[in-house]
Amino acid sequence: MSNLFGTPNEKETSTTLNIESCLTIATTSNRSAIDEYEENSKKFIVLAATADNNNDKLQIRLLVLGLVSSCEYYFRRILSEAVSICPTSRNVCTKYDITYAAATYFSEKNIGLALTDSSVFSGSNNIISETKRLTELNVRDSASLLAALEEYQKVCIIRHATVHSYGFIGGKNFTDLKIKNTGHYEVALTFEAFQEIADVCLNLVRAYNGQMWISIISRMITKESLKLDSSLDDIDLFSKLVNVFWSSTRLEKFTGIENLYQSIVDANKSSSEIPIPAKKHKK
Amino acid sequence: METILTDKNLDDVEQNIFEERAERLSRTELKKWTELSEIDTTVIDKLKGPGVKLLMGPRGSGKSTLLKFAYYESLDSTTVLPAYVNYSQSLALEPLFHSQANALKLFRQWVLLKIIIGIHESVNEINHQIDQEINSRASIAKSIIRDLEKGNTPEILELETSPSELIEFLESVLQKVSRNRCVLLLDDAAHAFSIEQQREFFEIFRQLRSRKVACKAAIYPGITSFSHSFNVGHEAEVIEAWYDPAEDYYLPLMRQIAHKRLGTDIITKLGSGFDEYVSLLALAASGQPRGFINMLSEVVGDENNPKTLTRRKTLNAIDSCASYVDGVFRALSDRLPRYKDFVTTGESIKNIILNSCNEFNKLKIPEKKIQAFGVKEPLNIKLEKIFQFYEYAGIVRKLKTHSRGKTGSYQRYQLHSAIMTSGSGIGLGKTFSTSDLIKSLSNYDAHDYCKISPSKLLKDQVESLALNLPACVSCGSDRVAADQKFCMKCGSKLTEASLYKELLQKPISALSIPRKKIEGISKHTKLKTIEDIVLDEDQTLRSVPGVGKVWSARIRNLAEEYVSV
Repeated sequence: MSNLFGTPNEKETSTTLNIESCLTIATTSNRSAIDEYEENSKKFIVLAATADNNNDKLQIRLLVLGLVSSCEYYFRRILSEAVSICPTSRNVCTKYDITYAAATYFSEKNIGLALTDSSVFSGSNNIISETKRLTELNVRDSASLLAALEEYQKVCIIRHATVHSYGFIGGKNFTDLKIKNTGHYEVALTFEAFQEIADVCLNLVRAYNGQMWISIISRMITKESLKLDSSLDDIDLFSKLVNVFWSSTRLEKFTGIENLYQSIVDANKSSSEIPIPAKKHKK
Repeated sequence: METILTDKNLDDVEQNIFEERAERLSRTELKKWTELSEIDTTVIDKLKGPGVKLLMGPRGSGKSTLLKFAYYESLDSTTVLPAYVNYSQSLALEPLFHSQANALKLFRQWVLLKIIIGIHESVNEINHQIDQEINSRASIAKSIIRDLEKGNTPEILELETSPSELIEFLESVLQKVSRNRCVLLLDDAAHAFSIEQQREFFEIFRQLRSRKVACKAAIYPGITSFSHSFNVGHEAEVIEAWYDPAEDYYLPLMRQIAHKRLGTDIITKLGSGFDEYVSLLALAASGQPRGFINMLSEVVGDENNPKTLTRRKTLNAIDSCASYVDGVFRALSDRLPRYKDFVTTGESIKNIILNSCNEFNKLKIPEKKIQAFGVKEPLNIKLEKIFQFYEYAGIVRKLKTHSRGKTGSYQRYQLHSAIMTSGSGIGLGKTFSTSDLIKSLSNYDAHDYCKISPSKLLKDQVESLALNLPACVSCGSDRVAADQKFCMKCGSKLTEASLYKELLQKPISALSIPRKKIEGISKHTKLKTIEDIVLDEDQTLRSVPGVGKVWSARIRNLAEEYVSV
């Protein structure tokens, strides 16, 4: 290259990334996806509180990435695990190809994660479409969940600006956020704002988890893959399902999965069917 | 147009003569028993007219009466179509905010759909043929509202609307009924105990206006939170709904109300002291008609067998009125649990103010005794909050600031006359004549007031006041801020119980009713909580000795009011 035009910055050097220094063997959690999410979320909250004490707004902004990433991981886990237990979802997924790389990378236990390998959950529409694609369940059936997704979309825009433009809000993001005033905006978060974001994410995870539990268990009962006949196989299948969806604190209230199973059997005896959210059509 | 009374509604009339809440009175009852002053007529004209208005007054100041009058008069006009909508059940939607991500949206629909029902009722009232569209919308709206108030949340609302769609609908109805304008009279709109609901309400309120549609809302002083984009004064004119006992119209007006409610027969039986005692009650009511009617009901007792009025009965009724107003203030610690310490301190401060007034008054002749006090500015923000709560309950009425030049300015307040009398603030000593008390309560010299320095009002205690915020249930750490959502130490989500559910579970003793009646209810019924009374369809209360038609209705009203705004 010609040196006729001067050197505007310091010269680059030879740099290679030792990728092994960046990675370690992953430890998989035995806890449910929602438990894992809530634990991760708590860590980010505490870090944000500390960052706020140090008036470190940059750190708070970066913590949003961690929080949304943790949220995305929840969706990967819950969908892959639901697919592995729910026969209808599994049947739906049999038609999808997964790459050889994914098949060899994930263990048999985690093969469901291969189904979401190229999925993105940092957007409400992605969550809706991936849920439909993998489970044939319609997230739009729950108004509460839809409201939670709407709010999550705002968080995703903040995350997008943080990831892709150092916090500066782009033109499309500006329009999507429906900001009334004009001007060039950037993400600036205090602990109060971070709390709002964390609340939106937690609310979404809780709304989604609750809705998916009801949808999947009611479908399994309707299709008689879960018989509620108190047989060992049935209780075993139920236990697997509970381990996917239930938070440990909620489960503690039933002092064990057997009691929860029995309460559902009893409730179904008295009402003849588990309450399935009725679809109402807008007039 | 006056409705002719039938035998059936005559029975209702007798049951209702001491009904103190205008929203529960029929059109005939309201017209028959209410006397309007010139000021009322001006306010009603404003409520019927174009432009956005906020009708402000404490509990029992007559806001509903004014809105109802504006409603009926508009119905009788040929140009205005009114809708009267009562939002007192807003607290029933509060549990949704603890269980539904779309609670704000549901609340918004509840607010808007209630207007559809209101307009349907109005079209019905003017005997206009109601078309299918209005009928169908109102019927769906009713069912959704019933569900929401019971805590049921339909996944998809069969009917949804927005402020702009509602305006379009209202304007189409106007065209159908051949009227020019629509006024929306929104009662109990303060949603006093949920800031979230209040702000959302005023956002809707701001948007609900057009050339043909104007909103009017009744709000409480002191505690109403508006949305960020709602600028009071710019967005709406504030009208005060509170009679001023200092004005010449006041006593004749209250006497007229007593005459209208009781009728000549009962008044004759009450004896020759009636006029004097009624004047005393009117002054003690401090411009609040509800308080006046309640006291009147207490002194008359059984309207079918009224006994001669006595001084003792009258003073007892004034004491009851004072404890009712105090009770409204104290109930704030249940309704706004975060402000529990503010309420407790507020009670002590009220006693200090009463003592200061007593000292100020005790050597003065009755004609010179005062009921106003002034606190030297600036007021600590926490002390100001306590005074705002006083205003909501009706313990004080905020007057104009009085500047005294170099000595500074005083924020003046008028104390409730029943509280002044009952709490000895008037400084008459133990023995006094009824006429001296009347004279003492009749002085409203604006320049003479008891001056109090904020340092005398538990300054240190006020400054150290903090919100009562529950600690983190996971690690026990205290909350740092009122709107904190997560624990800063362990990151756990901070939870709060549903206020509505907590209020329903409060014991009956939380109601401002005589202790003997509470003991009677405990002894003779299984009713234990406020919820038990609200749900008491079988009128079990009537089985309690000393609780007849009037008291059972009053206790139920109080219970319903306790869980309303």
